Amino acid sequence: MGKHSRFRGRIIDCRGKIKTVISELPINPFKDPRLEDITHPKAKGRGHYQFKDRETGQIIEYDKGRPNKPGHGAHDHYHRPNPNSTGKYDEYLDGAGRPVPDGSEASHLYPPESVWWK
Amino acid sequence: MNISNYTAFFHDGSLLEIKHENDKIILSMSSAEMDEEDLKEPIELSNNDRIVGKLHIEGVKNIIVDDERLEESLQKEYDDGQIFHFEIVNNKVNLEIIWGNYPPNPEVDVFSEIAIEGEKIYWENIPDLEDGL
Repeated sequence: MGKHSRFRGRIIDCRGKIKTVISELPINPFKDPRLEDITHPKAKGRGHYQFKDRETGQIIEYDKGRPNKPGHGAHDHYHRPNPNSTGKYDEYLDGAGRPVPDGSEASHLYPPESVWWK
Repeated sequence: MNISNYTAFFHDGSLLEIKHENDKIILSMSSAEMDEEDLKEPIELSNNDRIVGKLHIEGVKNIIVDDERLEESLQKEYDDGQIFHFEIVNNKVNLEIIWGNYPPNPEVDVFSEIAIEGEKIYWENIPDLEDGL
């Protein structure tokens, strides 16, 4: 997806929380022709999806938010698994492509249109 | 500390260890990174800003894994158990786990739904518990 990059950076929302925003992330990955849905069938039913970029082979994970929950779990968001991960501490990539831990703030990625917080 | 107030923050956290002996199960767990303003009471977080500790389930009556009753011990079979969903409803713990391995173990693609029903469920907060990070 690198060739589609237009903007990536971090913004601070109204609660002072920092969010990593990448404009190349689609609002609706199911309608993005660049992406192939390779989701585990059971995970699909629960709102956890995996997509493979048809051109680059890069994997992204897409988690559907569950309304009325606090934290990232309430909001649709993405993760980029680190293809060279050796453990939990470098399991994902942040918006700049740097390894970051599982569950870290920086591992949660948003398309700019969906950044908001209750 | 009522862990039910914070289960949503375990999305993208970790199931670190499972100990199952007789009718008692202890799940070592770590939340995702927390913001202190999300805490409703004074809770000591780990040095990487997570709720870390052990969920004790005593008097276990029933374990359902992927819609099938588990007759043997509940075990962690892979290197990593990423928590996709965690909730406690009455005396039942519901977990959805994305299992994974790290090199040199082979990659896996496993998603499990686990439901554990017990008589007593409580949280032991252990901020300095080793969480692999």
